[in-house]
Amino acid sequence: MKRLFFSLVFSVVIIPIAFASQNIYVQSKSAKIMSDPSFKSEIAGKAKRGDALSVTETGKGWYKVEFGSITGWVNKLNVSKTPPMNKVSVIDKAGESIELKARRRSSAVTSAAAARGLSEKDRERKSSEGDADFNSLRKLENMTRQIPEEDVEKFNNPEK
Amino acid sequence: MKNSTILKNKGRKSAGSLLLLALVVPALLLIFMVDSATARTSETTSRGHSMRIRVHDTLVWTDRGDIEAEIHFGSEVAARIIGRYGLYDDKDLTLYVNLVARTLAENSNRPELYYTVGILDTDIINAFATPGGFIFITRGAIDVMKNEAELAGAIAHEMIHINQKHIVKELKIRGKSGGPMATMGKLIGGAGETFQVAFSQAVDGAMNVLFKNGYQQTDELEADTMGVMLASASGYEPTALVDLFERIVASEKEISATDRGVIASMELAKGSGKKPGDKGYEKPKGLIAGTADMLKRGVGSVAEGVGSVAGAVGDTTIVSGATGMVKKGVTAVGDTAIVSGATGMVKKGVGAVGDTAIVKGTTGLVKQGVGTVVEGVGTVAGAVVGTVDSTVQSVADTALKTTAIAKITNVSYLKQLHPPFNKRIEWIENTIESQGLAGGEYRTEKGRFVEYTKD
Repeated sequence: MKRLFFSLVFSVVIIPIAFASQNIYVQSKSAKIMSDPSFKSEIAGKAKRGDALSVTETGKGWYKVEFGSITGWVNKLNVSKTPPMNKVSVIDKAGESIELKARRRSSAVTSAAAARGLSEKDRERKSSEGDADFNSLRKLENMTRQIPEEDVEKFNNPEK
Repeated sequence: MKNSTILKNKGRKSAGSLLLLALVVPALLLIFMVDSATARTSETTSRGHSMRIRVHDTLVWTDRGDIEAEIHFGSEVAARIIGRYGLYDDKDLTLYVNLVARTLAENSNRPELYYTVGILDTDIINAFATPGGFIFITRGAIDVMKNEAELAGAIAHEMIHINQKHIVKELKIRGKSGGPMATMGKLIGGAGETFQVAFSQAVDGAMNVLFKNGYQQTDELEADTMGVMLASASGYEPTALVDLFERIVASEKEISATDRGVIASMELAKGSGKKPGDKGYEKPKGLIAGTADMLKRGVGSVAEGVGSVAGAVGDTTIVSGATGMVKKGVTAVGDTAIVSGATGMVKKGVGAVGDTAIVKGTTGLVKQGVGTVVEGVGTVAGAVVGTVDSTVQSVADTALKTTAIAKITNVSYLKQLHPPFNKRIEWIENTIESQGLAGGEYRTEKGRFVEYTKD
């Protein structure tokens, strides 16, 4: 009975703990996995956005990770504890009134999505008072969103 | 029989307890392990650096609504910043700085954000970031930069403020998935007037961080550290930010070594010779902060140019930081006037002030200077004080002088808000060394910085 108890504890408690590790996810377009926690060290491998890396050690701005057959260090600059999300935009929803927002979130004390800021009317008033300039902000956003990805790629790699 | 049933039941209970134990204990231990792993991270890093590098240690938002809220909040602050300075109307340059930002964003750990960079139409040297991805860099800052890597370094620094949610943390805003709700929770909880007031207060809080109190020193240094890493990961020379900071420090020394009084006189002499109402008169631009700072430095000569100004000045040290000045306790009436001016300035924005400010501070003198101030831009509120020569002309000239020294002023302004540049330079150099960033294959240009910025 005692043997059964200990083997049960060992298999259910000890083994999972021993192998438990935390996953982190690459957020940047790609992430270098270095052989040591330094950008100067050898590149052990690369991972791309969304890849899950298993953390085995942490320290000084770096995570020691395992990724497939690769073991090495990834800088915290490139990763996060949750999988990457798609782009979030609120431009299209900017005209929504505060009342509508309030109704829509009737159950939503729990949802930060409801924090929409001022209504369009309030924004216009504030803009006219010179306290804020929402129109210029929106124009700026619209202009910058229209930069095509190819242009960024070309800019980033001018030699190509 | 009875005993046997009891035993069986006991056996079942034991097995049940065992199963429960087997499920609960590992769960608790796993939670403990994750927690302690996070704690270890902080501990280790704090041994290596005097600053904790806090990467997503408290605010990992996974809820799309939280991020939308962050963007909405940031856009309110961004609109206020634009309202204060206005955007510099140069589409090519704006697209260019955004291309630099997009390059950096590819190495950012917040792919869910669109980063939007605007150029503020002001001579002051500064850059700002608001939650949700809004970055602003001033025309004055771009003017002092020498290459694209310096621009990238500045944008990367601001990007880290956003990615690390420095303002959000400072204001103790928490989202659905980020722990207990505080400020934002209150905003979310109710609609109508209460909601708007609370929201506006939060926006005010963010403006205070950006324009008055500054970030926490550790946050500023974290932005330096990670900003340099971000820039270098994007292929930019990491020492560029050091070059930029050194140039700013050097320009400050250069000015210090100059006869400020002479400068002041010269600038005064550059007056347009036209008073408000004259054809061709241009409304002077500038900051009251500039005036104050100049006054501090140029006492001697200014006294000759506009005697009243010197009188007003004394030991004035405010750079748009009226409050700070007040705290220091100003004894001279003139100084107080300037302080009030600065306060008004802050409240109403550049150039809108003057009258209110002066009325607050210098009752007696206002009688002489009021007309001038109204025309001559609040900027010169300080100069108005005393207005020994109460002509419109002298004040207008002083305003021009203020414009001319805006950049110098801003250096002092930055020094107020940040750790000293020398400390930051040292910090960045240590980062470059300790992270193995030195000697990589970097560039200072990807686009055509000079073509876009130095026409």
